Amino acid sequence: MKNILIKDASLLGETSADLLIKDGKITEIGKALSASDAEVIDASGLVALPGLVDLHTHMREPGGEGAETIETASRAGAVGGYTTLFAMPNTNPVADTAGVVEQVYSKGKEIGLVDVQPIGAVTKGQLGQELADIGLMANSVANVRVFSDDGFPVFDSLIMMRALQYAKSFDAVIAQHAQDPRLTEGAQANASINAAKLGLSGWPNVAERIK
Amino acid sequence: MDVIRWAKKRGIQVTAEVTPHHLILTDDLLVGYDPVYKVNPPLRTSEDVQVLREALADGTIDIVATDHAPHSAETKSGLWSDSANGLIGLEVALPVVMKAMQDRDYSWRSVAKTMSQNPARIGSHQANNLDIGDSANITLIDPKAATWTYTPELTQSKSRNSPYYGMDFNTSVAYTIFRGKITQIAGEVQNA
Repeated sequence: MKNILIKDASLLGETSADLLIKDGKITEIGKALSASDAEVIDASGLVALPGLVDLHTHMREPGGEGAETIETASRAGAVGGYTTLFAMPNTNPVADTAGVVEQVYSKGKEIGLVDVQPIGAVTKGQLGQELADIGLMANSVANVRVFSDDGFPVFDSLIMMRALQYAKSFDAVIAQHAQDPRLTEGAQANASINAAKLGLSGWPNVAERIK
Repeated sequence: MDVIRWAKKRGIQVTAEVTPHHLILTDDLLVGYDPVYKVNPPLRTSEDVQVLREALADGTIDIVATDHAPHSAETKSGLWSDSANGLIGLEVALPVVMKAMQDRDYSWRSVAKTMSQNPARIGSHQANNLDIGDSANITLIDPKAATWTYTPELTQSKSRNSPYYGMDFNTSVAYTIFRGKITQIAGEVQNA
């Protein structure tokens, strides 16, 4: 791997400095650094940020490769400045077992453009009825620490309490999509005069607040 | 937002995310029934957008996350009611956020927190503070880029359901460096 010397970057938009990168790590930060063997990036006028991290990407693979793959999502992420993408579990099959999350994780590693960190489903098949293999996913190679049923929000309070307790033992978190299912049946657009004029059934904003 | 502020004050372990599109798009865009604007939660009013911008600036909202949701033309066209929810957002997330937050007190340090460090912490992923010894995951941003327009030709995603085609930006992502390897320069993916 080639060493990289970034010259005159504005670190977090505050102080100007050079950054030397060796073997994948930042090894030196300072003024007027030099390295004969490094590829030099002139970053004057540019702001250096830590690589962006997205906690909410739908990669569609496995099962939805017609719309996106782990590779095309990784490329889109790289273009956007991302170095880590958390992959949502609403794939086919759903990422509710160690097998699926390990497959997504290792495919991401193979492509090597970003870290692909799978999110595990909270419930089997994201059906909201039975907890998924949270422990097995957490202890798998993919080391899952975020669980979510995303667009199929966990609506059963008992399941949610158990999921939170179980996840806590792995220092993991549960991400809940803000949507009350009952209030949004058939809903199409923000409940407002605008939706009424367009003839679209209303999606009240209280549906985001009560869950 | 009041509920989240209250919960945080109580010491409850809760965090909140906002998408770039909920910071910039509003429900008046639905007038042409273009399903590209169909998302879940739905686009709301400009007052709601202002509340979200405020909450992102003051730290009530911890992270910006894209909800990048690719859909093929078949599932994202035709009748509004038959169309799927979601839009693609990874490629221009940062330019969109900077455009939305231009009149707010939202520093590059805040960008680093809300788009890198906080999401990494929440996901128990290695955090990056641009310190010696950190993994070389670095994004170089041009904050005063010559005005450029996002078009389908610039898209790397397999899908084309972006509401941002034709939108102009003054922020661009010049380089992306992942674990010490350059992965992107000025919109071109580097595959070496």
